[in-house]
Amino acid sequence: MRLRGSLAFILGLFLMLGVGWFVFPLALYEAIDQPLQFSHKIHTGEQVGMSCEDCHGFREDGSFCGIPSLENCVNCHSEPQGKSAAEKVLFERYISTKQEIPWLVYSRQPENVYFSHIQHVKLAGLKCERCHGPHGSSETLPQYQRNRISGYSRNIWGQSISGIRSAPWDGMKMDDCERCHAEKSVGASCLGCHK
Amino acid sequence: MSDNMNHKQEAGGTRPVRHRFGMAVDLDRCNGCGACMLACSVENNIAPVPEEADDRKGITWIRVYRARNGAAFPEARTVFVPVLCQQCGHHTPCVSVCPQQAVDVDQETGIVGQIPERCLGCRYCMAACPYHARYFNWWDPVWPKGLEKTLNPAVAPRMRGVVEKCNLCHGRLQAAQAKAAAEGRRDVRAEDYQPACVEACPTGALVFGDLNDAASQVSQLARGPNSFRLLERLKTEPNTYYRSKRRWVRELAAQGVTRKEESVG
Amino acid sequence: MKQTLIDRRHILKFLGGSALGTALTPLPWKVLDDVSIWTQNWSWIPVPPKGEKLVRHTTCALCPAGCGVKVSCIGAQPVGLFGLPGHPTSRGFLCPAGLLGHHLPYDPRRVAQPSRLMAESRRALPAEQILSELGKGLARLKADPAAGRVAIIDSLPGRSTSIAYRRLASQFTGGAYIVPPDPVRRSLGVFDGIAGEAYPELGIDVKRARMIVSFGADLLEGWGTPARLLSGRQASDQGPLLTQIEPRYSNTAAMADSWLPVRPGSELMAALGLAAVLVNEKLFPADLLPSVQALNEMADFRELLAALPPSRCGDLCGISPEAVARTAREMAAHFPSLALVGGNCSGGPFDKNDHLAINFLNLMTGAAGGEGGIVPRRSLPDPDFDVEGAELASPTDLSQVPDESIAFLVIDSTVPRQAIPSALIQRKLVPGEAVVLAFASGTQYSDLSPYVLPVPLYLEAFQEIPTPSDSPVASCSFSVPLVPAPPAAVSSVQWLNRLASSARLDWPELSDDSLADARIKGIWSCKRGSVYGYSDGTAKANSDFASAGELTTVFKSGACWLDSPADAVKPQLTGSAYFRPETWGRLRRAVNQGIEVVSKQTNDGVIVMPFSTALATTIASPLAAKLTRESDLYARPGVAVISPSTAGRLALQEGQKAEIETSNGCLRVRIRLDESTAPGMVFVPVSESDASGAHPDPRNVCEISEDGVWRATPAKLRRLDV
Repeated sequence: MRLRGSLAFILGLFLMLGVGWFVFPLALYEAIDQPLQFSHKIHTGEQVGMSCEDCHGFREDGSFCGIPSLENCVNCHSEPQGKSAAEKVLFERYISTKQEIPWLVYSRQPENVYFSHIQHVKLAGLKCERCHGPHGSSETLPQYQRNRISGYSRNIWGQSISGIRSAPWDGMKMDDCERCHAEKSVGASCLGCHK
Repeated sequence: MSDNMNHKQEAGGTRPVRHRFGMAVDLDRCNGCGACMLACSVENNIAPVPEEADDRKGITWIRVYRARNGAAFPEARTVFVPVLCQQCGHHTPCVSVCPQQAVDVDQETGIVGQIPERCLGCRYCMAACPYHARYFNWWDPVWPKGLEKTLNPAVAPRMRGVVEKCNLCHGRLQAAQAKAAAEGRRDVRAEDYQPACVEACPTGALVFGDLNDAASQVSQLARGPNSFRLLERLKTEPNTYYRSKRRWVRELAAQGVTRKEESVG
Repeated sequence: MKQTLIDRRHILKFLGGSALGTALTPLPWKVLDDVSIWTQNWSWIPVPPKGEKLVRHTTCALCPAGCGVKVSCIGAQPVGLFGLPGHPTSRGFLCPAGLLGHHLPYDPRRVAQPSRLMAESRRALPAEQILSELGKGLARLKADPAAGRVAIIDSLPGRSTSIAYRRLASQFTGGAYIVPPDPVRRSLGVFDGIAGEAYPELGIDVKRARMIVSFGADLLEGWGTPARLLSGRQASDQGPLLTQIEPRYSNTAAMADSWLPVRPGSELMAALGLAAVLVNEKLFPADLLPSVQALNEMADFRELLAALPPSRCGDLCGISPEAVARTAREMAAHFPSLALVGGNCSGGPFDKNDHLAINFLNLMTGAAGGEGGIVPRRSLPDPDFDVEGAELASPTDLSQVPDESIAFLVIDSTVPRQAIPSALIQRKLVPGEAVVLAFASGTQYSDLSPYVLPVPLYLEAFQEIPTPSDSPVASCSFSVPLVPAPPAAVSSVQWLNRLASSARLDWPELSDDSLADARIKGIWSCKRGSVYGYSDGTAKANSDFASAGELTTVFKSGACWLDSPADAVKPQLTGSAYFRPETWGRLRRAVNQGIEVVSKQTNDGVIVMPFSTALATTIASPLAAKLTRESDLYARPGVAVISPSTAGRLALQEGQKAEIETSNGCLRVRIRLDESTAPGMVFVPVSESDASGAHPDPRNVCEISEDGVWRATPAKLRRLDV
């Protein structure tokens, strides 16, 4: 009896440990495909040689372009530049119908968050990779994993369900911002980062 | 107008000097038009409240009150007093009572910033604020169909159940900081940042600037004669100064003002 | 005893183990974190649009003042309107209505489809049906003028579009082209011609006046071009001395240096009393001596002024004799001092005798024809446009049109304001048969059951804003389209083309572009004045533009043209009405009538006077309620403001329901007490935004005289026990 009791306990323990560590992360995130498989490597590589700022640049008033609009793509892609399936999708579904591409943004934050790219890039001298990782040299876009409860990307909490950061660019929660701000003794008033 | 480019050399690079943003309100110029109230509502995506709401449940981050001299016709006189968050400088009552730390004083700008997302809606701060400058979202915001397209992206809309108040147009401060960064500066210029109410005021009754900058117009007006602050005896040391040449107006500021009760019938 | 395989304890231990296991995983904390994020991101909280911040410019078209507007846009969508600091006239000013202009297209009351409006509802109708029915009606009236006249009310006269309306009126025998009452134009009409033929028009140089005596003019709330007095940061303490003479403690009275609370209807006596002091104490400018001597030769003049010494004047007006004398002396000490007559669309115009009496002060202070006063100006250059063989009807006032004579009324509501009370219009319509057609974007005049052909709103079309009536120089600017108009809303010119063709009138095809081009060409050809471009903030001489096309390009991105000021001209005062004996006979009779009216005001009844409350336009932003409901800055529609002593006399209390009864009807109100209100007065705010049953238009219960005046109405006020 006691053995069975301990067995039940241990069974429950290991079952939930398994669920919490392995099943839960699988169930929590929903994989969604990007509208088309954009290859950063092709655009930033030797053949085309663009830099981050060419598409993700700053305007005169200091605001950040974010994900570029279709107009930006059409600057070069008014005619097909290659033979890839992704480009075919670009033309058929978006350029010819003049519809903006509904990209899924990995770093999307809630509405009340204000992040000023220009202060971090120009004044603090941070490189894009510091927060976005080696995204600019990726061959394909990583799978967008949407948290079923909160609606945001897995990139925000971090890849690991434990919350332990594997790299400086893993995770974009407020804690991650606060950690770096504390290290660099930079301002941390609420309205500096919220709106 | 001084150039706010005072920098102090500190280890690790230059840091901008601390500001103390404040306002000087000329009560002899305010004509009660309400342009400031509307400009504020447009800039900060302030929601309209349902038909059944009255002035106790409305949301007006800046509100122009009528105060009277107490005399009867024909000696009765009115003064229009715009009241917004006074940006208390010392012993901010709302900060000291908030259980959520949903409001903080920014040491670099002197702005008392309210973060609705942290607020749990206990409204203790509304009771604590002696100036009635805080407003509660009794309802979710509802704009007529299509009007959401005209919302200002610099300010996030709030849901029901949270308190909000004037933050001296933080969206505009953030934009001014971004502009400064684009030009390689760490500090905003006085001409790049003014709240919406100040911009909209047609008579120049609202003057805004850095009270720490002795040469600025707001500093001079604040130190000038006939200048006073509301409820000075509470020692909240607000960064909002008022002035009037009329003695009865200055005396009114030291007292409380009772709201007229509306009898039902 | 048989042991069960799994019993309660096993389950509990299992659950215990699970709980411990769960606690050792990130699951509870992650779920908590995610759920809290979920609760802060409800889908029904609107998310503002994202995009590039752009700045555009336009001219506000909500009233004739035409202030410059800086438009903050996200992409193509305007999200905020602010004043334009560099604009030579408005200098950064934008009134509460202008600040909310970008919300107007979203007002549920916006009429975007051809419809028939009733007092509380509307019925969409196909445009063809409206056009063919109304076209037939017009054709019938053309054939048989005895059935009634055709009249047009133009909300913004002086535009090139107005040509179309004037032409329409001239097509019909007895056709009337009506312009809304304008106090400035009425005042200036008194001095018509004093500057000779070179300067056929007059304006008011408010900025250079050293003193303004305003008879009910809401100078700080919307009179004329408000920016001229308020102009932004330049509003200095050295502005003109302001004496406000009106029964109500308006916001302008609150800001004025002194307020003389005269009885309603006694304004002309106050004016003549002031004139009497100026004449008798010889306080007028020395060069007016010959004129005064000429005036003194008229018996009526002498006797009228002799009958109004300060004591008598003060007595009649309800102010102290000292106030009368002091005001007159202040006027003399502050030449140029300017007397202005008020009258907005809520309170209604003053009558012609009031204008005559009050403007006499301008004669006496030298303000007529001089700097800081009533100044000559050139007209806005005519559009370079040849409407073949066209006759254009001259503007007239609605009160001049005989009662019950209008069978077809066209109302242009480009300025979305119900400028004339429906009761006055109703009086002029042929009972039972009249047809009303409105070119409108809102529900104004809905109680006249008009057919509405929708037109674009401000920010949706290229609209001309001609010289405001008070401007000291001719001017013209255009409002620039920034958002698309609803598909069914086309300009009134296009509707007129279709209507005229349906009625088989002799009508040239007009187009908005050709009318605008014609106006711009006219301006360019005169080679005078300067053009201020809003986007680059610089002024360029008109003569520096190589072609009218270049000028058009500048107008299309926001600009205004200002004429150069007139040369100094010696005014021909002796030609004015004041040197004719009949004028003084008329004024004597008017004063006697005024004395009768004023003496009747001391009985048990009350006097009702409507006044403007915030944003008196018919369609409004929901944020307008911040001024009337979410604060008590402006009187809420549906209240009646009375003094505590009147309330005591009539046993009324704050917030109580009451009823105002006049000879024209009843009005339900809620009482609001205000110590600054004169005893016996009832001030009722007119808020045209709620012109439906919820808040009926108070103007409709006022007594409207034959002259179209409804300023003060005797009434009874009683408690309503419901």
